[in-house]
Amino acid sequence: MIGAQPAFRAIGLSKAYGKRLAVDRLDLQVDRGELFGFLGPNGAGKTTTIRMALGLIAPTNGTVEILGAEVRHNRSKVLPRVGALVESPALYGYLSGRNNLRVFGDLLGGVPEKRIDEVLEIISLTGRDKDKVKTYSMGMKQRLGLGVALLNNPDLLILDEPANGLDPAGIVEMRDLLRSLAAEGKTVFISSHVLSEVQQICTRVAIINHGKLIRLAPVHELLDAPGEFEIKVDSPDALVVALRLQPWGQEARVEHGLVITRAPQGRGRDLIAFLVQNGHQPDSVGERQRDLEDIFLSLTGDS
Amino acid sequence: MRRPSFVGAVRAEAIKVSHQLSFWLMIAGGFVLLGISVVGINTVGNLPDTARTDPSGFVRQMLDVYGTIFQIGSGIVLLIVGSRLIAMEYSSGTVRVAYARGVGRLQLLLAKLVLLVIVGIGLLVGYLLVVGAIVAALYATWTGGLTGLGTLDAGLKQDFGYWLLVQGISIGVVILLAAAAAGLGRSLAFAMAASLAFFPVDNFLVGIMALAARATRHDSPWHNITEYLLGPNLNIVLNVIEPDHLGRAAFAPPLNPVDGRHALIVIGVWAVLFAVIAIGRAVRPDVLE
Repeated sequence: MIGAQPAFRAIGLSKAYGKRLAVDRLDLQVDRGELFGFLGPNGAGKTTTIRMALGLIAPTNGTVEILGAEVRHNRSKVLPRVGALVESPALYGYLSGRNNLRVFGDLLGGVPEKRIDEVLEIISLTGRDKDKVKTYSMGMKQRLGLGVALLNNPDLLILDEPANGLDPAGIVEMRDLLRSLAAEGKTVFISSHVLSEVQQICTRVAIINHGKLIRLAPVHELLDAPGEFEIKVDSPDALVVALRLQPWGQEARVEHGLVITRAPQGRGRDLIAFLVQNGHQPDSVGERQRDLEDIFLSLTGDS
Repeated sequence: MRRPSFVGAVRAEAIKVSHQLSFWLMIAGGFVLLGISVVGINTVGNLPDTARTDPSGFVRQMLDVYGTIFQIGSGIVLLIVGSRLIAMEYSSGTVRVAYARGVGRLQLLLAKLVLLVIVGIGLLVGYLLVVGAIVAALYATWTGGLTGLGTLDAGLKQDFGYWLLVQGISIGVVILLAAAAAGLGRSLAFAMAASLAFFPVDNFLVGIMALAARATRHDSPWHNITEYLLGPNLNIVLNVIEPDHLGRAAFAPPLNPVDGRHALIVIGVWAVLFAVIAIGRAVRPDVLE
């Protein structure tokens, strides 16, 4: 039944630095084959969680299981099945891209030259493989870091900010690559602050803040949740006062001259009826398109 | 699915060292230094006579001269290569990539140490071949042939064994010193500075202790302290373990006489201390690089 085990599981995971809790009793499960987004503002505890998952730092409490095995006591068994890119890509600048792959391949017990060629092809560095890495752009280093993660065809990819330094074309390539890896049955765990990317490729996301999990849901569920409406009226401030008196309008506010509010039971027609009944004839009413960034900002309180 | 292997880790370290430009520049510098040494030896007036009249004495003198050069030269090379090999992993963060793929912390450190030992042995063997050729050429130039070297005394073989032992000890100690400095600072700059400064400071301390003894008009504890310094014991160890060794230590010996057992124990204790620091820092639970 090993195949049925989740790809990644954090159970009551905590990490304290002195009195500060970087990660606070995190419970999280990622199933096999998922494209999973792990979101949070800077300092939320994302990288600390990833470092604990990879056995780089010891949890204060709780455990991480990867592919069904507890990581800390099964490092040599579990971690070779994980490809990871943690923070900025760490590479040997004085070696060529190919030799970097050779070095990490040897560390993994030896990777055939054919596989190195394949990886160079995947990360689009074939023509620059003999150049020293110190001459590479940030995006090329990022791609090579991903190449190192892919070297021995891992079952689980843990990528911390994989789109860092990539140009728009590189981001599209990365997106396609991650999708194709997921289509092959690999699990992809992405920590990112490029929320539009996460929205486009991930099926489920977890949002953490101050080390705590504050939301775990499929992306479509978050996006389909009752949204907000934009209303153009002559006296927006007066309307906000009226809306805030309603149980569904507590979050009403003015943004760029437009009133932003939720609607009764999420229905636009009921909102229009309310406006008309209360003497606030609208010039226009439109449903605001919510994206992951709006949801993220509202959940993390940074809006 | 492949798993990290020790042999693979050593191979990876070999790729790193073989592509370090500084390593090859130091080797080239070594050849230049040897060339200068030939010029220097040619200016020593009594050496041709010694070569003609006492071939064994001539070879012993060569072992002394070139042994000192090797100890200093290989020490510098191994300290720089070792610092780069170990500390740069921390400085560049590559250590986390290795650990995150399941490579054991001790396994990685041991692979680096083994590779450094291989480099050290390679340096010694290469050096012996080059120096052997130089000594033979000098001998042949001064005596008109190599036949005299067939009459070397039996004790020379044993002395050469001691010489090799001391070079081996020196290689081992500097490798462990580089590993300890790299582990302690977990940065390339610190590792380089600390490991390269260690022996000069160690030797300089002998002078400081001598001055302190003069200033206080008491040898104790100043002279006693020098008995436990690493550098002075390494400087004197060949003289005190080799019976009837005639050469003098090129650098500061301890200010009190020490015997071979004492020198070996002191060197061993320092080596163990360096190893404990290197291992202790490598297995530290949290990798924040």
